[in-house]
Amino acid sequence: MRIQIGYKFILGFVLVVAAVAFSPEVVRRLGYSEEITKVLAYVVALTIGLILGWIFSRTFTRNISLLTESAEFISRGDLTRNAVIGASRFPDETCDIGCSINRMVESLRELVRRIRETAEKVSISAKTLSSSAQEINVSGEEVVHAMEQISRGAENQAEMAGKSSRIIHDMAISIELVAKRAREASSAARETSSAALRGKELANDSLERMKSILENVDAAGRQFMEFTEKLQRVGKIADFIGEIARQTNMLALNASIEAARAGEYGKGFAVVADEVRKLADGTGKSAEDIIQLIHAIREESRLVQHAIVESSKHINEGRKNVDVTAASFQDIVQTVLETERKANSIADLSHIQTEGAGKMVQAVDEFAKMARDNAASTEEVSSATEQQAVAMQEMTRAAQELAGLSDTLLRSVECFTISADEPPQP
Amino acid sequence: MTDGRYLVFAVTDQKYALAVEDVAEIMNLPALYPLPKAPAYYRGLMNCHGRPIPVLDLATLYKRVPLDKGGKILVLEGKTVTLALLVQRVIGIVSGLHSADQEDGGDYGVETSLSGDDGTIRGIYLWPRQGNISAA
Repeated sequence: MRIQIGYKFILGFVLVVAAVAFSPEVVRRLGYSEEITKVLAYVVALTIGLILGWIFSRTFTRNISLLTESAEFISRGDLTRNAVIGASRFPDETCDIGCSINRMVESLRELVRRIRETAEKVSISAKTLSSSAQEINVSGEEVVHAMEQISRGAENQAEMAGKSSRIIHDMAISIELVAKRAREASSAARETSSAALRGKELANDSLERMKSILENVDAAGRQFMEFTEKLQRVGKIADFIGEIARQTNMLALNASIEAARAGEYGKGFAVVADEVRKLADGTGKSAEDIIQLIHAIREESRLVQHAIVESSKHINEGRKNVDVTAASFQDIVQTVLETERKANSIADLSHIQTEGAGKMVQAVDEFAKMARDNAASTEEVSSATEQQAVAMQEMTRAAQELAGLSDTLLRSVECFTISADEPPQP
Repeated sequence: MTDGRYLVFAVTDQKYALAVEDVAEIMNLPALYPLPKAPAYYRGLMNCHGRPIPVLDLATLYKRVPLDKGGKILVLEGKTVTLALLVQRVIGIVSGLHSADQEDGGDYGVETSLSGDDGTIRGIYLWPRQGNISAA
C-alpha cells in the first residue's frame, strides 16, 4: 500500500499525538502518584513519540541515504550500481526516486555506451574519411593531371579537326572536279555514241553499196564469161577461115602448078591462080591476125577475169570487214552507252559525295567546336578539380579534426563506467 | 636455070626450090604405108589418085632428122618416075631466081644456090635437063 511521505508524517504525528494523549490515561491506571504520574506520563509520551518518530523516520532516512549514495556514484561517473531501495510495506516517494534514479542510470549507461560506440565509429569513420579524402586528394591530383592531358588532347583534337576540315574541304573541291570531269566524259561519251551510230549507219550503207558492187562485179564477171565464150566462137570461126585460106592457098598453088604444066595455054589461068593464092594468103594472114588478136584479148580477158575474181574476193573480204566494223560500231555504241551511264552515275555519286563532304565539313567543324569546348570544359573541370582538391584537403583536415573531436568525445565519456569489470576512470 | 617459075618450100629452116614444071600436085599429108627394110628417109607408099607412089622424107634425107609432124606432100611427076616429097611447108611460087654459083654433084640433086629476095635458096634438079644428071 502506497502512502505518501506527507501522509506518513501526518499519520506519525497523529500517532504521537494519540500516544501523548492516551499515555497519561495509561500511566494513571498504574496508580502512581499524581506527580509521578504526571512526569511519567510526560516521559512515556515522549518515549513513545520518540520511538514512533524513529520508527517512522528510519526507513525514510535509510532510503534517502541510499539515494544520496547512488547520486554520489553517478556524480563520480560510476554508472555500474543501481540504487537498491529495500522493499517496504508502505512504499513512498523515495522508492519512486530510486526507481527514477535507476532508470536514469540505465539511460545514462545506454547513452554513454551509445556515445562511446558512436564516437568510436565516428573516429573510425573519420579516419577512413581522412584516408579516403587523402586518396581522393591523390586521385584528384591524378584527375587534374589527366585533365590537363585531356585538355591538351582536346586542343590537339581541335587543331586536327581544323586540319581535317580543310582537307575535307579540299577533297570536296576535288570531288566537285571529278563530278565535272565525269559530266564532260558523259557528254563526250554521248557524242562518241552518236558518232559511233553514224559510223554504224555509214558501215551499213557501205555494206549495202558493197553488196551492190559485188553484184555488179558478179554480173560483169558473167558478162565477161559470155564475152569470152563469144570470143572463143570468133576464134573458132577465124580458125575455120584460116583453114579455108590454107586450103584455098593449096588449091591456088595446085592451080598455078597446073597452069605451069599447061604451058603457054595456062598462062592466063596462072595469073588467076596467083591472084587467088594472094587472096588466100591475105585471108590466111588476116585470120592469123584475128587469131592472134583473139589470143591477146583472151590473155587480157583472163587477166581482167582474174582481176574481177580478185576484186570480188577483196570486196567479199571488205564486206566481212565492214560487217566487223558495223559490229564493232555496235559494240562501241554499247560500250559508250555503258560509259555514259557510268560517267553519269559517277557524276551523281560525286554530287552525293560533295554533299556528304559538305556535311562532313560541317560535322568536322562542329567536332572542332566541340573539341574546343571540350578543351575549355576540361580546363574548367581542371580548375574545378583543383578546387575540389583544395576542398578535399580541407575535408581531410576536417576529417582529422573530426577524428580528434571524436577522440575527445571518447575521452569525455570514458569517465563514465558502465560495467563492473571496467574500473572507473579518475 | 636463070629463068622460070619455082616452087619454094622449106625443110627445117632451109628453103629449097623446084621448077614448077616438075611438080604435079601439092597435097596434105595422107595416110602412109611404110615398107619394111626400107631406108629411114623412105617413109612408105601413099595413095595418089589410085596410084601408089613412094614418099621421101627430105628432112631425114638432108638433115638426118625426121620431120616430127605435119608437113606437105609434093607429088613430082617426071617422064620416068613419079614420087612424092615430104616437106615441112610450102612457101609459094616465085620467079626470077638467080644462080649464085654452079656446083656439080652434091647429095640428091642439090646443085646450086639460088639467091632470091629473101636469102639463099638451094635449087634442086631432079632430072636431067639440058643434059646433066647429078642425082641418081
